[in-house]
Amino acid sequence: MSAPLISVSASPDPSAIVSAAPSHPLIDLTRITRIYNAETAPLRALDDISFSIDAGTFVSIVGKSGSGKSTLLNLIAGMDKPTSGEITVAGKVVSEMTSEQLSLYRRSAVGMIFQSFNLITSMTAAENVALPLFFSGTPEQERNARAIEMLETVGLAARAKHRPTELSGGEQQRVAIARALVTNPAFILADEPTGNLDTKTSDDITDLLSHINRHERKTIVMITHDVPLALRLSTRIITLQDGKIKTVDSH
Amino acid sequence: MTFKDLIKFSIQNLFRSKLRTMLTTIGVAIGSGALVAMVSYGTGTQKNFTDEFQDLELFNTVRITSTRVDLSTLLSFSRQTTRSTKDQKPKNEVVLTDSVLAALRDAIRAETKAGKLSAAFGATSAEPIVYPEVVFPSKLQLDTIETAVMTEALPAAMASSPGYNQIHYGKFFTSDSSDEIVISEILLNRMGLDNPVAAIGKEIKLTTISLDVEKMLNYANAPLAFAGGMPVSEQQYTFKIGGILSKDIQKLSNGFRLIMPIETSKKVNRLNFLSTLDLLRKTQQMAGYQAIIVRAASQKDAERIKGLAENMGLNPTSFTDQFNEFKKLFLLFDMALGIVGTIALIVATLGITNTMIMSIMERYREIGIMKALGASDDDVRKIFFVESAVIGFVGGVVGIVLGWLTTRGINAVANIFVEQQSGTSLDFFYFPLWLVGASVFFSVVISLLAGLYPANRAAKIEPVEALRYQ
Repeated sequence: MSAPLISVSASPDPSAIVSAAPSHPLIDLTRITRIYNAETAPLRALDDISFSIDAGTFVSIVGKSGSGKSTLLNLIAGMDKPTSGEITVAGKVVSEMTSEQLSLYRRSAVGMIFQSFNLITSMTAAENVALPLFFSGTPEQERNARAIEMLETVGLAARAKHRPTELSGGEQQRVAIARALVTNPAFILADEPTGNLDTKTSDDITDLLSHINRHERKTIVMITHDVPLALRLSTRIITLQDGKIKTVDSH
Repeated sequence: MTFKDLIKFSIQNLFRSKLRTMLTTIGVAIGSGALVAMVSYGTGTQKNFTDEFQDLELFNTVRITSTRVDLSTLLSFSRQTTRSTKDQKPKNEVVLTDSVLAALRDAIRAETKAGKLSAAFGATSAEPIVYPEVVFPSKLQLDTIETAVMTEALPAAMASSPGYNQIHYGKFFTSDSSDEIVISEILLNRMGLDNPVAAIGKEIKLTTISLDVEKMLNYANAPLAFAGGMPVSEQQYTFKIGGILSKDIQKLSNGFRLIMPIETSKKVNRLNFLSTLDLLRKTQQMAGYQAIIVRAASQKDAERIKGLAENMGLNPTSFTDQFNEFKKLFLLFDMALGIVGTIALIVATLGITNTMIMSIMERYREIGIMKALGASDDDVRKIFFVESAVIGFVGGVVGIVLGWLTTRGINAVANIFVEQQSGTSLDFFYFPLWLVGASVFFSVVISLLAGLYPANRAAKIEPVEALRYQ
């Protein structure tokens, strides 16, 4: 299997290198296997995968559908558990956490961005952004202030009171990015963030993600089947095929 | 998630499907309103009885009977407790004669002197009110109209007791041996007299029957002797109407009453038994009064006099004892009403379960999003739990208002008939504060139970699956 601990050799931004060279990787996967329907019709979605992601990097996981991308995302997001192997994030073993601990982990360490935005339609943009803070028990005033601050970061402060249905796709995804950032998570997990957007809007969103990676020094793990996009944004690309790592490219 | 956040969030969620929430809440309100109305009818009825008894100072009454009255066996439905009367004298049999009555009066007097009983026995009586219970069948004749009536006898001292101290026409007899009687207005109306003022001083004729027990026993030994006629004689007495008990004094009794002074009643030949059992006893040389009544100044005094009578070997029962047994019946009555109301509420809360399940299905993906963003199973459970509770609380509060309005309506309609009958109005329903609190609490608890299953189901939703769901 491919060796873990591949450090970033080149980064477009010099400042990212400084923050991306810690002694321990931020996310570390060791010999991860995930088998669905173990009893009836076993399906090996991930087969003995190991790799690590350093803090501050922008890592893309690419592969065709059925390659195991989504499974990998769910495991890193703490929404699923591996059949075998160990996932550590910032020194903590995520794969052994209880359901309660996992929700705390998702709330504090992970910022999720989805292909279909996944905003709650009954809430305003600001309420959507504030939602993760709601579960952590942050006082209402602070929640609202943070939400507005985040909306400013993504350039949508003027649309704070609008509901998702009143926003364009690109705007909705920006709200989702603001929501992912609001808890100041250890990393952002983006699942096909431009999959539902046209080219022009896609570029806006990828620029924003790139900006967040470089200027906020936020680690980003992006899942995509769009190889050119991955090449353009990432410091490293992990290619999956049939549940195994095919290649790891750093640039 | 703070509690305040949770409440706010739940209300926001409920407002998203206004119609559904409203319908479910109305369902709970109707259920809880039904429960409240039912229970308030039960408590209202009990209160009316208690108030009436209290007004009439019945709780100050001690009744002494010749045999022990075992209320619990009288009221129980068990057959084993029926006593066999044949050849077996009941335990604690006491013949209630005038000397027993005098001894009791002396004992009460002594106790009063010792300061252990209140000295006041009412406005007109410095003496303890102790009198035999006298009730006998008679025929009342006024002008040309006749009717059968049970005649009672009371001492003149009762003039100050509630019920007798509010005579609107004429007055209560002032002497125990007066020839004036007191009649109830309802009985007077029955006798064809609608103007009570004109009835005062009018003469009435009272016919009684008496039985020569000795003669009858002789007949029993020689049955053929019946040919000579029954050993029964009729006597007629003349009285004057001295006072009239007006209609509104006794709200709960329709009161066909004819009361004569106690000493006067002793001169009236009458049947001094009311049942065959009494007759049997009397032939066994068990002559005496049915019962002796003591009117005390307060309920506390009544209890003390009861103890006094017990020490004298008598068989006293205070009205409080009887009422406590009576209350058990009320409890059954209340329970029956409560069960009907509770069923209505439970049916309504099933609506909550249904609404919540619907809501979870609709918000399936949303629950997945919340979980992906870090909501724990517990957070999700709480959200749905609180939504159920909010419906239950609002439904409960609206239910009280609904129940109250309903009972006011029913009360108003019912009183149209009640007023026609007795001239007075009555409140059939009673809303004590505990009922208001308990019904809201109850509907919240039932709603939480209704939300238990949906909340747990929501908590168990797998985010990965829910996010895949379109």
